[in-house]
Amino acid sequence: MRTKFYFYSGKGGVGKTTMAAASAIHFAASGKKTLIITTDPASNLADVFEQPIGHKVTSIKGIPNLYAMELDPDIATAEYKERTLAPLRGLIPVESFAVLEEQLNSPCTAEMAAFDRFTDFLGESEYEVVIFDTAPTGHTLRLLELPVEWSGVIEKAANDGSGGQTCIGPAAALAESKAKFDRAINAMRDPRQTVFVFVLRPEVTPIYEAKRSIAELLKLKITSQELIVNSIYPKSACDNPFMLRRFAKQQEFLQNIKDAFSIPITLMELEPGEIKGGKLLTIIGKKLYEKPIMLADYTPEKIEIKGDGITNKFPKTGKNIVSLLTPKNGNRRTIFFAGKGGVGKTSVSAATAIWVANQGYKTLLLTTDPASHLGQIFETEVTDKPTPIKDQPNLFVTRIDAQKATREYKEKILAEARRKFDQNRVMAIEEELNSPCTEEMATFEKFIEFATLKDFQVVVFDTAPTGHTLRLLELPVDWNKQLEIKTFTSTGETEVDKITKSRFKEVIDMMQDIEKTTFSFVMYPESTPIEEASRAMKELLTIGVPTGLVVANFILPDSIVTNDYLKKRKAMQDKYLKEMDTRFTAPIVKLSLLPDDLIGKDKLEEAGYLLYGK
Amino acid sequence: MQPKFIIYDPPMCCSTGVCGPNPDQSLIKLQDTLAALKKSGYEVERYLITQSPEKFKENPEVIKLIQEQQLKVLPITTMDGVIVKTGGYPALEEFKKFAESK
Repeated sequence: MRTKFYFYSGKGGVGKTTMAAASAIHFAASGKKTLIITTDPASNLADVFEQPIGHKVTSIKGIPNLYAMELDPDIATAEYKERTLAPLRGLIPVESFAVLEEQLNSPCTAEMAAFDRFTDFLGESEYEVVIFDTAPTGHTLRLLELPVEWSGVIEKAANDGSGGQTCIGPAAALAESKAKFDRAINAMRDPRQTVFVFVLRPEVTPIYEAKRSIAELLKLKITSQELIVNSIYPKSACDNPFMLRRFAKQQEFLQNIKDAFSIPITLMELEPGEIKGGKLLTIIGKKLYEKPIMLADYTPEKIEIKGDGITNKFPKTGKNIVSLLTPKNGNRRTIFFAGKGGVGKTSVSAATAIWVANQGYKTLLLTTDPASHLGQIFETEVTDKPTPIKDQPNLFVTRIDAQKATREYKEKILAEARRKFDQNRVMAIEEELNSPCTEEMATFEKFIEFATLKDFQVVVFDTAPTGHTLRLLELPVDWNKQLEIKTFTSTGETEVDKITKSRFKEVIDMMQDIEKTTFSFVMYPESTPIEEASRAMKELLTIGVPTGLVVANFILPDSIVTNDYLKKRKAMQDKYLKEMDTRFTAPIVKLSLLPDDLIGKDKLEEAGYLLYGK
Repeated sequence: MQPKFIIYDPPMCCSTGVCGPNPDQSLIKLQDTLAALKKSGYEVERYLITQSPEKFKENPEVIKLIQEQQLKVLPITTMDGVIVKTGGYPALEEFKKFAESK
């Protein structure tokens, strides 16, 4: 019997965990032994199934045939470290052993360990169906690209006589893994075995994301793909001008989706409440598999968009807001926005940057998210150089372009090598620079560069999704430790190392200082984003970074709650807004659900006033 | 018969150090030395303590030195299993001298 694999992906917050969980319940109910695995470092599978799961295969209560696992990158790394170092435990002094453990804390190890675990499940197993609730898009794709890259690294290392060492591990040990990686990628490429499901909402950004992801997968020769369009408003719930306007927009996007994609597309309505627990998931599973509404059989409605029936009232700007968002004592102010994907982080970052720029401060808005859509919302091209925004004084935007940064980083090292070594040696170095760690290092170098930039009074970071952000932010601390190891061993500390170390320290000090940094979380009032933000806040505290601001987004304005469906949603939001009040100590600012997507400078400016007052 | 050298490396990310925060020039130089040695027909193996700990375990003398002097005794170089240098990488001339003394 061949195991069937389903991969769910899409931008964070589109409901892919819910869809994956509903599918899992459907297959289990039809008698198939089913396993659902999440590889997302900020998973909410446990919230959806309402029971603890963790880093082990766990049977789901009350649902026969169903098993789940949350692949925890930290535990996977710990297991990997233990496996690697076990031969030396007790054999060498404890101090030395501790140094080795620390060395293995490099970002490479974590990536490798998680991937190693991930491929374990892509082989033969006792399950008839294995469902992966994968990590957000950019990260997922990198994870998927790795087997190809790594297999390449392994072959080269075994043949080029460079002593058999690669960044990943000695070639001999990897030969076993290579077979596993190859099997994994072959399984993903076989349409009889694997289906990739993209979940998206009928909005601009997710459509763009899905297009990109589908193209990326095709490049990897993965062809079996489907779409689920989620969160469609039921027409009956749209009985006021505001909701009708949103409904009309959605229908327009459905038409765009219908025109743009030629793969099977299933439609799903937005539920008024949260989807949690076996009963609700079973209903969703039935909608997906028993009576699916296919976009091919559906005709999106064409509705003329009229006014939205809303008059905006801007609050008065509070003193605490000013002190959180503007420079103090001549220091530069750095504002980070973090949060689960899909919470509106990029829009809030952009609205904040405009608001601050309007106060007269020279402001830089920067994204570290590889899947950012800053360019779309400003209707301009965002490059890796700070660029002024038309008609908006004091505001510049830029992004960290991982691929370009990697090229530049490689070139820098190779230029140095060319001056000192012969061609063969340069080629060997070039080979080693093709390892997956290089991109991590290069992106990080850029992050440090922008984080220590003196040209701006305020820098707003629209950060990448939570898990990745934290890793990026924890890097300065980790690399600092790596340098300390170098000092401890005989390799010695060079002058260059000292400079690197002091730059890292500058960034860490800045992030820990509330006079200089405001670390903010964006979320909407529902269980999952709140849980995720809480976890992330705790993790940040362990590196000494407190949370300065919380943004509650997509709040339904009272004036539009005109029917039972909306009343139900409003009640759910109120419940979670109360919970946010009791759980978070940082000030909370609210942004209401707006009739249109926040595209263009004027709408963002208005959102800024709604958030922070005028 | 030509002697066989083994280098036991200290903890680091990769053999040239290019993937660490700053590339280590002495490691890059070592690659040249090793290439020259191989060209002359010597057998050379390199093991990283965090990647091939079992290779370290196979040589009790290497483990004993780490027990006495911690990790700063690394890198260790052996010729046919006998330790010939500790605390640094031999230069090409040193390798040749070791081989001649055999």
